[in-house]
Amino acid sequence: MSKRVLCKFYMHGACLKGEYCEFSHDRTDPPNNICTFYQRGVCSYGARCRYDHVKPSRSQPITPPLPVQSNTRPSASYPSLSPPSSHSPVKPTWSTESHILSEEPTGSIPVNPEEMPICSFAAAGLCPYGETCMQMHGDTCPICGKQCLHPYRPEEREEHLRFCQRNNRRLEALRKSQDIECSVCLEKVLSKPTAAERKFGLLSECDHPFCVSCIRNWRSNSLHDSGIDVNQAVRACPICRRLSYYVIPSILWYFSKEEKDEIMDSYKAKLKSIDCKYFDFGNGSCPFGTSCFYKHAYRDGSLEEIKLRHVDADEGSTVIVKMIRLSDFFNDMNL
Amino acid sequence: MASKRIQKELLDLQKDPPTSCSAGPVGEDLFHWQATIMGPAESPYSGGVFFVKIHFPPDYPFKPPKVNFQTKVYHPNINSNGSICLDILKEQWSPALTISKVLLSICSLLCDPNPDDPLVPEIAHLYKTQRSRYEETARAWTQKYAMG
Repeated sequence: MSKRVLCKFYMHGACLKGEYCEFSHDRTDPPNNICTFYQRGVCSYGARCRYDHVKPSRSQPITPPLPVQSNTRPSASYPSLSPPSSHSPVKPTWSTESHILSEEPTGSIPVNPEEMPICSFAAAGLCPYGETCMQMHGDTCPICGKQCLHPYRPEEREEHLRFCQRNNRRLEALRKSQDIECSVCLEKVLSKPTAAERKFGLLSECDHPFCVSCIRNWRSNSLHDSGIDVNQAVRACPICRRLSYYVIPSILWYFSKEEKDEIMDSYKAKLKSIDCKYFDFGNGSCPFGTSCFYKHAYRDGSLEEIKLRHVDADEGSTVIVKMIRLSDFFNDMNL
Repeated sequence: MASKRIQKELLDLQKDPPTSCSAGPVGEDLFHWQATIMGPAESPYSGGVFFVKIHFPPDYPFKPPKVNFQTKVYHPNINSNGSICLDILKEQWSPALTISKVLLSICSLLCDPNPDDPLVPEIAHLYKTQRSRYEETARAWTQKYAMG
């Protein structure tokens, strides 16, 4: 039955179960667009819910995922799969997930354990059926402590462990980042009122922490109309005065050089995927030239060729000639 | 931003006051402070209590605070208006500096004048050529204006 209902997650392009999903991954199958939260009483999305708010009809019993008295349930000893007798033929699809085995060939036909799903309640943290659950419970993940490791799918296990480890590292870094103070506003960066402010601004050449808004504010030219030297004082770290030429925004602080490199690399990789508005697919010219962090690609997708013009200077040294821009002449004229 | 940071500095000053100076707002206005600096023991200003007026700009800490002596001081880098010639109050200002650090810098300026970048060239000249006469005058001024 469930194979004929389109998977909600697949529909939104994000089903992690892939070929093991018990719902259909064929877009021609009808989706089940009924909001189960609404049917159970309250949907916190209200009118904005993407699912249909339909009252349950009398023929559709709502089976909340509560433990059924164990004596009313058939003794569920996996893998001898006996179908639960008390279920009406029409049920909401969400409940079929926990009873999916009843729809499969039952009894003596052996089932490939790799194709069996694991209990999603146990994987989420707690299965109300406990020992008597009809579904296979996954092995306990040593990191998140949930029973979510499929005993017969090694790749899935690996992926989950990797994901969990990364998540754990991130959480740990986030926890340690909570106490880091910005030296400009003297507040804890991650305790600022708005989400936009709860970001660190990393300097490339030193390790002093600031809010991204504070350090950008300090480095912006508009503030420095008089006296302060833009190239020296402003680009320098307010604490150690070492010059940094760019600021990297990050929601995490770092505690080792590797972590800093990782943040910087992922930031640069992200910018490299965005088209440079100055280069404008080859129509414009970018003042940052080959040092630009953004993508310099033409409309056909080919990247800009980097051509450096070398010129021999005095004493045999070589100088790289920059592109000549009209504005350079105007600047020299001191208009 | 400015008033929040000034409030925070005030709180830190009350929690952990520096040894030789004190500072706080004059009346209700958070942006006008008065500070006192004790003359450093190893200087001719020893024993004097110097009043200093601090005015925070609205875009503090991105702009430096304006700091002026209200007590007359005989010093190569402090003129008769009470203006102070100190690099961190001008082109070397950094938003990571606080009032407590600024007052500390002024204390060390009292100990070690910088005659090569003077605000009052006559005092700087005297400081360089006849140190004892400079110290005498500085002590006399301290006695006259900064005590009692």
